[in-house]
Amino acid sequence: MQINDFLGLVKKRRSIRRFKTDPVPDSQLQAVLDAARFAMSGANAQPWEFVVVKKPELRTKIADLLDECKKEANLIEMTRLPELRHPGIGNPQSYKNMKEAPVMIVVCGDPRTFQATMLSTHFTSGESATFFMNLANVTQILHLAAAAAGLGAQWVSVTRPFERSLKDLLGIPDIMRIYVIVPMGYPSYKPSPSIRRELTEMIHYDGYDLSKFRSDEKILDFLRELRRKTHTAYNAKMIKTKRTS
Amino acid sequence: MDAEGFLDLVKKRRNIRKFKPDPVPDEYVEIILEAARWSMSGANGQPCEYVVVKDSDTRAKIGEILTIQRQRAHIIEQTRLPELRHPGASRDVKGAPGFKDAPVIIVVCGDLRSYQATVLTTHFYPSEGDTFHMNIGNATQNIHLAAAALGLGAQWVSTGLLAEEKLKRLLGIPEAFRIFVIVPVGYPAYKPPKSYRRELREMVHHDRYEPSKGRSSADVIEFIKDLRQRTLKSYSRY
Repeated sequence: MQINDFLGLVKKRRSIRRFKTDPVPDSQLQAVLDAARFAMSGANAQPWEFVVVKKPELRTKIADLLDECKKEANLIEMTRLPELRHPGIGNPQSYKNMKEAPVMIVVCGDPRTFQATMLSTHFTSGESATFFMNLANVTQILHLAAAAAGLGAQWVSVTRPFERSLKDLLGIPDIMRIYVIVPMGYPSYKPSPSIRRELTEMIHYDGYDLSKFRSDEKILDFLRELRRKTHTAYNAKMIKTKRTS
Repeated sequence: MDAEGFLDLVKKRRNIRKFKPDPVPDEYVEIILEAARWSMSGANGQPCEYVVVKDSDTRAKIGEILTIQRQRAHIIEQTRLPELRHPGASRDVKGAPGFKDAPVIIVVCGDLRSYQATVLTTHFYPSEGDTFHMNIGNATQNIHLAAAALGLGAQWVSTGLLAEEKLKRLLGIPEAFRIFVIVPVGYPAYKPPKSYRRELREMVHHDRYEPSKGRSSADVIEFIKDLRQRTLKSYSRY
Protein backbone atom coordinates (compact mmCIF):
# COMPACT_ATOMS: atom_id res chain seq x y z
CA MET A 1 0.00 0.00 0.00
CA GLN A 2 1.29 3.46 -0.87
CA ILE A 3 1.07 4.78 2.70
CA ASN A 4 3.34 2.05 4.08
CA ASP A 5 5.89 2.80 1.40
CA PHE A 6 5.69 6.51 2.19
CA LEU A 7 6.05 5.95 5.94
CA GLY A 8 9.02 3.72 5.24
CA LEU A 9 10.56 6.50 3.19
CA VAL A 10 10.14 9.28 5.79
CA LYS A 11 11.69 7.07 8.46
CA LYS A 12 14.56 5.93 6.27
CA ARG A 13 15.54 9.46 5.20
CA ARG A 14 18.56 10.69 7.15
CA SER A 15 20.63 13.83 6.92
CA ILE A 16 23.92 12.75 5.40
CA ARG A 17 27.09 14.66 6.17
CA ARG A 18 29.74 12.63 4.39
CA PHE A 19 29.57 11.57 0.79
CA LYS A 20 31.39 9.41 -1.73
CA THR A 21 32.89 11.44 -4.55
CA ASP A 22 31.04 9.32 -7.15
CA PRO A 23 29.00 11.58 -9.43
CA VAL A 24 25.22 11.45 -9.45
CA PRO A 25 23.85 10.54 -12.89
CA ASP A 26 22.07 13.46 -14.56
CA SER A 27 18.94 11.40 -15.02
CA GLN A 28 18.71 10.79 -11.28
CA LEU A 29 19.32 14.43 -10.47
CA GLN A 30 16.63 15.49 -12.94
CA ALA A 31 14.20 13.02 -11.39
CA VAL A 32 14.87 14.39 -7.90
CA LEU A 33 14.34 17.99 -9.05
CA ASP A 34 11.26 16.95 -11.01
CA ALA A 35 9.68 15.61 -7.82
CA ALA A 36 10.69 18.74 -5.89
CA ARG A 37 8.78 21.10 -8.18
CA PHE A 38 5.52 19.43 -7.15
CA ALA A 39 5.95 20.78 -3.64
CA MET A 40 3.13 22.91 -2.29
CA SER A 41 3.26 26.69 -2.28
CA GLY A 42 0.77 29.37 -1.30
CA ALA A 43 -1.40 30.21 -4.30
CA ASN A 44 0.86 27.88 -6.30
CA ALA A 45 3.38 30.72 -6.49
CA GLN A 46 6.31 28.28 -6.93
CA PRO A 47 8.94 30.75 -5.73
CA TRP A 48 11.83 28.30 -6.04
CA GLU A 49 14.73 28.14 -8.43
CA PHE A 50 17.70 25.82 -8.15
CA VAL A 51 21.34 26.48 -8.91
CA VAL A 52 22.81 23.03 -9.35
CA VAL A 53 26.54 23.24 -8.67
CA LYS A 54 28.77 20.44 -9.92
CA LYS A 55 32.05 22.21 -10.82
CA PRO A 56 34.64 21.08 -8.24
CA GLU A 57 36.23 24.51 -7.83
CA LEU A 58 32.82 26.08 -7.12
CA ARG A 59 31.88 23.39 -4.63
CA THR A 60 35.21 23.87 -2.85
CA LYS A 61 34.68 27.61 -2.73
CA ILE A 62 31.16 27.19 -1.29
CA ALA A 63 32.44 24.83 1.40
CA ASP A 64 35.28 27.24 2.21
CA LEU A 65 32.84 30.15 2.49
CA LEU A 66 30.64 28.16 4.84
CA ASP A 67 33.66 27.30 6.92
CA GLU A 68 34.41 31.00 7.31
CA CYS A 69 30.87 31.75 8.50
CA LYS A 70 31.07 28.82 10.82
CA LYS A 71 33.88 30.44 12.81
CA GLU A 72 31.45 33.16 13.88
CA ALA A 73 28.74 30.64 14.72
CA ASN A 74 31.25 28.60 16.68
CA LEU A 75 32.33 31.60 18.73
CA ILE A 76 28.75 32.38 19.74
CA GLU A 77 27.82 28.74 20.33
CA MET A 78 30.68 28.37 22.79
CA THR A 79 28.94 30.91 25.06
CA ARG A 80 26.44 28.18 25.88
CA LEU A 81 26.85 25.51 28.49
CA PRO A 82 28.60 22.53 26.88
CA GLU A 83 25.67 20.13 27.22
CA LEU A 84 23.41 22.49 25.25
CA ARG A 85 25.72 23.31 22.37
CA HIS A 86 24.71 22.32 18.85
CA PRO A 87 26.84 19.25 18.02
CA GLY A 88 27.59 20.33 14.46
CA ILE A 89 29.31 23.52 15.49
CA GLY A 90 32.11 22.00 17.49
CA ASN A 91 33.13 19.73 14.65
CA PRO A 92 35.91 21.20 12.50
CA GLN A 93 35.37 18.62 9.79
CA SER A 94 31.76 19.16 8.88
CA TYR A 95 32.05 21.73 6.12
CA LYS A 96 35.20 20.20 4.77
CA ASN A 97 33.19 17.02 4.31
CA MET A 98 30.72 18.96 2.21
CA LYS A 99 33.32 19.34 -0.53
CA GLU A 100 33.10 15.62 -1.21
CA ALA A 101 29.47 15.86 -2.29
CA PRO A 102 29.42 15.61 -6.11
CA VAL A 103 26.61 18.12 -6.36
CA MET A 104 25.22 21.00 -4.31
CA ILE A 105 21.74 22.31 -4.93
CA VAL A 106 21.37 25.96 -3.95
CA VAL A 107 17.69 26.60 -3.26
CA CYS A 108 16.67 30.17 -4.09
CA GLY A 109 13.34 31.90 -3.64
CA ASP A 110 11.92 34.76 -5.69
CA PRO A 111 10.00 37.00 -3.25
CA ARG A 112 8.18 38.72 -6.13
CA THR A 113 6.18 35.55 -6.77
CA PHE A 114 4.67 36.10 -3.37
CA GLN A 115 2.33 38.54 -5.09
CA ALA A 116 0.40 35.40 -6.04
CA THR A 117 -0.99 35.07 -2.54
CA MET A 118 -3.90 37.14 -1.26
CA LEU A 119 -3.00 40.77 -0.54
CA SER A 120 -4.36 40.47 2.98
CA THR A 121 -1.54 38.03 3.76
CA HIS A 122 0.89 40.90 3.40
CA PHE A 123 -1.08 43.54 5.29
CA THR A 124 -2.60 41.70 8.22
CA SER A 125 -0.67 38.51 8.78
CA GLY A 126 2.24 40.17 10.46
CA GLU A 127 4.86 38.11 8.72
CA SER A 128 5.55 36.18 5.56
CA ALA A 129 5.47 32.75 7.16
CA THR A 130 4.05 31.25 3.99
CA PHE A 131 7.04 32.31 1.92
CA PHE A 132 9.47 30.50 4.22
CA MET A 133 7.19 27.49 4.43
CA ASN A 134 7.06 27.23 0.65
CA LEU A 135 10.83 27.01 0.49
CA ALA A 136 10.71 24.42 3.25
CA ASN A 137 8.19 22.33 1.33
CA VAL A 138 10.40 22.14 -1.73
CA THR A 139 13.47 21.36 0.37
CA GLN A 140 11.73 18.63 2.37
CA ILE A 141 10.55 17.03 -0.86
CA LEU A 142 14.03 17.33 -2.34
CA HIS A 143 15.32 15.34 0.64
CA LEU A 144 12.60 12.70 0.36
CA ALA A 145 13.12 12.35 -3.39
CA ALA A 146 16.85 11.93 -2.83
CA ALA A 147 16.22 9.25 -0.20
CA ALA A 148 13.84 7.46 -2.57
CA ALA A 149 16.61 7.43 -5.18
CA GLY A 150 19.11 5.99 -2.69
CA LEU A 151 20.96 9.29 -2.37
CA GLY A 152 21.94 11.21 0.73
CA ALA A 153 21.32 14.91 1.30
CA GLN A 154 21.89 17.54 3.99
CA TRP A 155 19.94 20.67 4.93
CA VAL A 156 22.49 23.49 5.22
CA SER A 157 20.85 26.77 6.25
CA VAL A 158 22.19 29.99 4.76
CA THR A 159 22.77 33.11 6.86
CA ARG A 160 22.93 36.66 5.49
CA PRO A 161 26.72 37.14 5.28
CA PHE A 162 27.01 33.81 3.54
CA GLU A 163 24.14 34.63 1.20
CA ARG A 164 25.92 37.76 -0.03
CA SER A 165 29.11 35.82 -0.89
CA LEU A 166 27.12 33.06 -2.53
CA LYS A 167 25.25 35.49 -4.76
CA ASP A 168 28.54 37.00 -5.88
CA LEU A 169 30.05 33.59 -6.52
CA LEU A 170 27.14 32.16 -8.49
CA GLY A 171 25.79 35.29 -10.17
CA ILE A 172 22.44 35.02 -8.43
CA PRO A 173 20.38 38.23 -8.84
CA ASP A 174 20.01 40.46 -5.78
CA ILE A 175 16.23 40.12 -5.70
CA MET A 176 16.46 36.37 -5.10
CA ARG A 177 16.85 35.04 -1.60
CA ILE A 178 18.93 32.00 -0.81
CA TYR A 179 17.60 29.77 1.91
CA VAL A 180 19.27 26.46 1.88
CA ILE A 181 22.07 24.54 0.27
CA VAL A 182 21.54 20.85 -0.25
CA PRO A 183 24.71 18.85 -0.80
CA MET A 184 23.71 15.58 -2.39
CA GLY A 185 25.42 12.34 -3.29
CA TYR A 186 25.95 8.74 -2.29
CA PRO A 187 26.39 8.36 1.47
CA SER A 188 29.85 7.16 2.49
CA TYR A 189 28.56 5.67 5.74
CA LYS A 190 25.53 4.04 7.25
CA PRO A 191 23.79 6.62 9.43
CA SER A 192 22.39 5.85 12.85
CA PRO A 193 18.59 5.46 13.00
CA SER A 194 16.47 8.59 13.16
CA ILE A 195 15.08 9.63 16.52
CA ARG A 196 11.90 11.50 17.28
CA ARG A 197 9.71 12.35 20.25
CA GLU A 198 6.90 9.87 20.86
CA LEU A 199 3.78 10.40 18.78
CA THR A 200 1.49 10.42 21.84
CA GLU A 201 3.42 13.35 23.29
CA MET A 202 2.54 15.58 20.37
CA ILE A 203 -1.10 14.74 19.59
CA HIS A 204 -4.06 16.40 21.30
CA TYR A 205 -7.73 15.63 20.68
CA ASP A 206 -10.30 18.41 20.27
CA GLY A 207 -8.37 20.77 22.53
CA TYR A 208 -4.83 21.15 23.83
CA ASP A 209 -4.13 18.59 26.55
CA LEU A 210 -2.33 20.60 29.22
CA SER A 211 -0.97 17.48 30.89
CA LYS A 212 1.25 17.15 27.80
CA PHE A 213 2.49 20.73 27.95
CA ARG A 214 6.20 20.81 28.73
CA SER A 215 7.45 23.34 31.26
CA ASP A 216 10.37 25.57 30.23
CA GLU A 217 12.63 23.37 32.34
CA LYS A 218 11.35 20.25 30.62
CA ILE A 219 12.20 21.83 27.26
CA LEU A 220 15.79 22.25 28.42
CA ASP A 221 15.84 18.65 29.60
CA PHE A 222 14.61 17.65 26.14
CA LEU A 223 17.45 19.66 24.58
CA ARG A 224 20.11 18.10 26.77
CA GLU A 225 18.83 14.64 25.94
CA LEU A 226 18.63 15.54 22.25
CA ARG A 227 22.28 16.63 22.22
CA ARG A 228 23.31 13.35 23.81
CA LYS A 229 21.32 11.30 21.33
CA THR A 230 22.19 13.19 18.16
CA HIS A 231 25.87 13.74 18.69
CA THR A 232 26.85 10.81 16.48
CA ALA A 233 24.67 12.01 13.61
CA TYR A 234 26.77 15.18 13.35
CA ASN A 235 30.10 13.52 13.80
CA ALA A 236 29.75 10.56 11.51
CA LYS A 237 32.75 8.33 11.48
CA MET A 238 33.52 6.73 8.18
CA ILE A 239 32.33 3.18 8.25
CA LYS A 240 34.23 1.10 5.75
CA THR A 241 31.81 -0.98 3.72
CA LYS A 242 32.97 -4.29 2.25
CA ARG A 243 33.36 -4.08 -1.48
CA THR A 244 31.88 -6.93 -3.48
CA SER A 245 34.10 -7.89 -6.38
CA MET B 1 9.19 3.64 -1.81
CA ASP B 2 11.37 4.10 -4.84
CA ALA B 3 11.95 7.28 -6.86
CA GLU B 4 9.15 6.56 -9.31
CA GLY B 5 6.68 5.77 -6.55
CA PHE B 6 7.56 8.99 -4.77
CA LEU B 7 7.23 11.05 -7.95
CA ASP B 8 3.79 9.51 -8.48
CA LEU B 9 2.77 10.47 -4.98
CA VAL B 10 3.89 14.11 -5.21
CA LYS B 11 2.08 14.51 -8.53
CA LYS B 12 -1.06 12.83 -7.29
CA ARG B 13 -1.37 15.00 -4.17
CA ARG B 14 -3.83 17.85 -4.70
CA ASN B 15 -5.26 20.48 -2.40
CA ILE B 16 -8.86 19.42 -1.76
CA ARG B 17 -11.37 22.13 -0.95
CA LYS B 18 -14.59 20.16 -0.46
CA PHE B 19 -15.04 16.99 1.52
CA LYS B 20 -17.53 14.23 2.12
CA PRO B 21 -18.74 14.19 5.72
CA ASP B 22 -17.76 10.49 6.01
CA PRO B 23 -15.57 9.96 9.09
CA VAL B 24 -11.90 9.12 8.73
CA PRO B 25 -10.70 6.13 10.77
CA ASP B 26 -8.71 7.20 13.85
CA GLU B 27 -5.91 4.97 12.71
CA TYR B 28 -5.52 7.01 9.51
CA VAL B 29 -5.12 10.25 11.42
CA GLU B 30 -2.41 8.67 13.56
CA ILE B 31 -0.62 7.41 10.48
CA ILE B 32 -0.72 10.87 8.92
CA LEU B 33 0.76 12.36 12.07
CA GLU B 34 3.36 9.63 12.22
CA ALA B 35 4.54 10.85 8.81
CA ALA B 36 4.58 14.42 10.15
CA ARG B 37 6.56 13.26 13.16
CA TRP B 38 9.40 12.11 10.90
CA SER B 39 9.61 15.41 9.04
CA MET B 40 12.83 17.40 9.23
CA SER B 41 13.50 20.16 11.74
CA GLY B 42 16.55 22.31 12.45
CA ALA B 43 18.83 20.52 14.91
CA ASN B 44 16.01 17.98 15.26
CA GLY B 45 14.23 20.44 17.56
CA GLN B 46 10.81 18.92 16.66
CA PRO B 47 8.67 21.92 17.57
CA CYS B 48 5.39 20.57 16.19
CA GLU B 49 2.38 19.38 18.12
CA TYR B 50 -1.02 18.69 16.60
CA VAL B 51 -4.53 19.37 17.86
CA VAL B 52 -6.83 16.91 16.09
CA VAL B 53 -10.33 18.36 16.05
CA LYS B 54 -13.22 16.00 15.38
CA ASP B 55 -15.94 17.50 17.59
CA SER B 56 -18.50 19.05 15.23
CA ASP B 57 -19.16 22.18 17.33
CA THR B 58 -15.47 22.94 17.57
CA ARG B 59 -15.03 22.38 13.85
CA ALA B 60 -17.90 24.77 13.18
CA LYS B 61 -16.25 27.40 15.40
CA ILE B 62 -12.98 26.96 13.54
CA GLY B 63 -14.95 27.46 10.35
CA GLU B 64 -16.33 30.75 11.71
CA ILE B 65 -12.85 31.99 12.56
CA LEU B 66 -11.66 31.26 9.03
CA THR B 67 -14.75 32.83 7.47
CA ILE B 68 -13.93 36.14 9.20
CA GLN B 69 -10.38 35.90 7.86
CA ARG B 70 -11.66 35.20 4.37
CA GLN B 71 -14.09 38.10 4.47
CA ARG B 72 -11.27 40.50 5.24
CA ALA B 73 -9.16 38.90 2.53
CA HIS B 74 -11.97 39.38 0.03
CA ILE B 75 -12.32 43.10 0.76
CA ILE B 76 -8.61 43.73 0.33
CA GLU B 77 -8.36 41.50 -2.75
CA GLN B 78 -10.92 43.66 -4.56
CA THR B 79 -8.34 46.47 -4.65
CA ARG B 80 -6.43 44.50 -7.26
CA LEU B 81 -7.06 44.30 -10.98
CA PRO B 82 -9.51 41.42 -11.64
CA GLU B 83 -7.01 39.33 -13.62
CA LEU B 84 -4.61 39.32 -10.66
CA ARG B 85 -7.03 38.50 -7.88
CA HIS B 86 -6.50 35.30 -5.93
CA PRO B 87 -9.42 33.03 -6.92
CA GLY B 88 -10.00 31.96 -3.33
CA ALA B 89 -10.67 35.56 -2.26
CA SER B 90 -12.42 36.84 -5.34
CA ARG B 91 -15.92 35.73 -4.51
CA ASP B 92 -17.78 37.24 -1.62
CA VAL B 93 -17.79 34.94 1.36
CA LYS B 94 -21.08 33.85 2.85
CA GLY B 95 -21.44 31.05 5.29
CA ALA B 96 -19.05 28.32 6.26
CA PRO B 97 -15.81 27.64 4.41
CA GLY B 98 -15.57 24.98 1.71
CA PHE B 99 -13.90 22.57 4.11
CA LYS B 100 -16.85 22.62 6.54
CA ASP B 101 -17.74 18.97 5.94
CA ALA B 102 -14.24 17.66 6.61
CA PRO B 103 -14.64 15.21 9.54
CA VAL B 104 -11.31 16.20 11.05
CA ILE B 105 -9.17 19.33 11.18
CA ILE B 106 -5.51 19.10 12.18
CA VAL B 107 -4.25 22.29 13.80
CA VAL B 108 -0.46 22.41 13.44
CA CYS B 109 1.23 24.13 16.39
CA GLY B 110 4.89 25.04 16.74
CA ASP B 111 6.51 25.35 20.17
CA LEU B 112 8.75 28.44 20.07
CA ARG B 113 10.86 27.15 22.93
CA SER B 114 12.10 24.17 20.92
CA TYR B 115 13.77 26.71 18.70
CA GLN B 116 16.57 26.80 21.28
CA ALA B 117 17.79 23.62 19.61
CA THR B 118 19.32 25.52 16.72
CA VAL B 119 22.67 27.33 16.91
CA LEU B 120 22.57 30.62 18.78
CA THR B 121 23.56 32.64 15.72
CA THR B 122 20.17 31.81 14.22
CA HIS B 123 18.62 33.91 16.95
CA PHE B 124 21.09 36.76 17.18
CA TYR B 125 21.98 37.26 13.54
CA PRO B 126 19.05 37.59 11.15
CA SER B 127 19.02 35.00 8.41
CA GLU B 128 16.91 34.76 5.35
CA GLY B 129 14.43 32.02 5.90
CA ASP B 130 13.25 31.45 9.41
CA THR B 131 13.99 27.86 10.40
CA PHE B 132 11.08 27.88 12.82
CA HIS B 133 8.58 28.49 10.01
CA MET B 134 10.35 25.98 7.81
CA ASN B 135 10.05 23.22 10.39
CA ILE B 136 6.30 23.72 10.42
CA GLY B 137 6.23 23.71 6.63
CA ASN B 138 8.06 20.39 6.55
CA ALA B 139 5.61 18.74 8.93
CA THR B 140 2.62 20.12 7.05
CA GLN B 141 3.96 19.01 3.67
CA ASN B 142 4.36 15.50 5.07
CA ILE B 143 0.79 15.58 6.41
CA HIS B 144 -0.43 16.32 2.90
CA LEU B 145 1.68 13.60 1.29
CA ALA B 146 0.58 11.00 3.83
CA ALA B 147 -3.07 11.92 3.34
CA ALA B 148 -2.64 11.53 -0.42
CA ALA B 149 -0.93 8.16 0.10
CA LEU B 150 -4.00 7.04 2.07
CA GLY B 151 -6.36 8.20 -0.66
CA LEU B 152 -7.60 11.08 1.50
CA GLY B 153 -7.80 14.76 0.66
CA ALA B 154 -6.29 17.61 2.64
CA GLN B 155 -6.14 21.40 2.33
CA TRP B 156 -3.41 23.81 3.36
CA VAL B 157 -5.33 26.58 5.13
CA SER B 158 -3.01 29.39 6.18
CA THR B 159 -3.98 31.29 9.32
CA GLY B 160 -3.18 34.96 9.86
CA LEU B 161 -2.33 36.52 13.24
CA LEU B 162 -5.92 37.24 14.24
CA ALA B 163 -7.17 33.77 13.38
CA GLU B 164 -4.21 32.35 15.28
CA GLU B 165 -5.16 34.22 18.46
CA LYS B 166 -8.77 33.04 18.25
CA LEU B 167 -7.75 29.44 17.56
CA LYS B 168 -5.43 29.39 20.56
CA ARG B 169 -8.22 30.66 22.78
CA LEU B 170 -10.78 28.23 21.35
CA LEU B 171 -8.54 25.19 21.73
CA GLY B 172 -6.72 26.17 24.92
CA ILE B 173 -3.35 26.21 23.18
CA PRO B 174 -0.61 27.70 25.39
CA GLU B 175 1.09 31.00 24.52
CA ALA B 176 4.38 29.29 23.75
CA PHE B 177 2.91 27.98 20.50
CA ARG B 178 2.51 29.61 17.09
CA ILE B 179 -0.04 28.50 14.51
CA PHE B 180 0.40 29.20 10.81
CA VAL B 181 -1.70 26.51 9.19
CA ILE B 182 -4.64 24.18 9.77
CA VAL B 183 -5.31 21.10 7.67
CA PRO B 184 -8.84 19.81 7.11
CA VAL B 185 -8.66 16.12 6.17
CA GLY B 186 -11.30 13.81 4.72
CA TYR B 187 -12.55 11.99 1.67
CA PRO B 188 -12.59 14.29 -1.37
CA ALA B 189 -16.07 15.23 -2.59
CA TYR B 190 -14.82 15.67 -6.15
CA LYS B 191 -12.03 14.76 -8.52
CA PRO B 192 -9.62 17.69 -8.76
CA PRO B 193 -7.98 18.78 -12.02
CA LYS B 194 -4.34 17.87 -12.59
CA SER B 195 -1.56 19.72 -10.86
CA TYR B 196 0.08 22.61 -12.70
CA ARG B 197 3.75 23.49 -12.27
CA ARG B 198 6.34 25.54 -14.12
CA GLU B 199 8.65 23.51 -16.36
CA LEU B 200 11.70 22.06 -14.66
CA ARG B 201 14.14 23.65 -17.11
CA GLU B 202 12.79 27.14 -16.27
CA MET B 203 13.90 26.79 -12.67
CA VAL B 204 17.16 24.88 -12.89
CA HIS B 205 20.48 26.67 -13.42
CA HIS B 206 23.76 24.84 -13.97
CA ASP B 207 26.72 25.91 -11.86
CA ARG B 208 25.79 29.58 -12.16
CA TYR B 209 22.53 31.46 -12.34
CA GLU B 210 21.55 31.64 -16.00
CA PRO B 211 20.46 35.24 -16.73
CA SER B 212 18.42 34.09 -19.73
CA LYS B 213 16.13 32.30 -17.26
CA GLY B 214 15.88 35.29 -14.94
CA ARG B 215 12.42 36.85 -14.85
CA SER B 216 11.92 40.58 -14.80
CA SER B 217 9.37 41.98 -12.33
CA ALA B 218 6.98 42.44 -15.27
CA ASP B 219 7.55 38.77 -16.22
CA VAL B 220 6.55 37.72 -12.70
CA ILE B 221 3.31 39.66 -12.95
CA GLU B 222 2.60 37.97 -16.29
CA PHE B 223 3.30 34.64 -14.61
CA ILE B 224 0.70 35.41 -11.97
CA LYS B 225 -1.89 36.43 -14.57
CA ASP B 226 -1.25 33.16 -16.40
CA LEU B 227 -1.36 31.25 -13.11
CA ARG B 228 -4.79 32.66 -12.34
CA GLN B 229 -6.11 31.44 -15.69
CA ARG B 230 -4.70 27.96 -15.22
CA THR B 231 -5.62 27.44 -11.60
CA LEU B 232 -9.10 28.96 -11.48
CA LYS B 233 -10.68 25.51 -11.76
CA SER B 234 -8.77 24.23 -8.73
CA TYR B 235 -10.45 26.79 -6.52
CA SER B 236 -14.00 26.11 -7.70
CA ARG B 237 -15.70 23.45 -5.70
CA TYR B 238 -17.27 20.59 -7.58
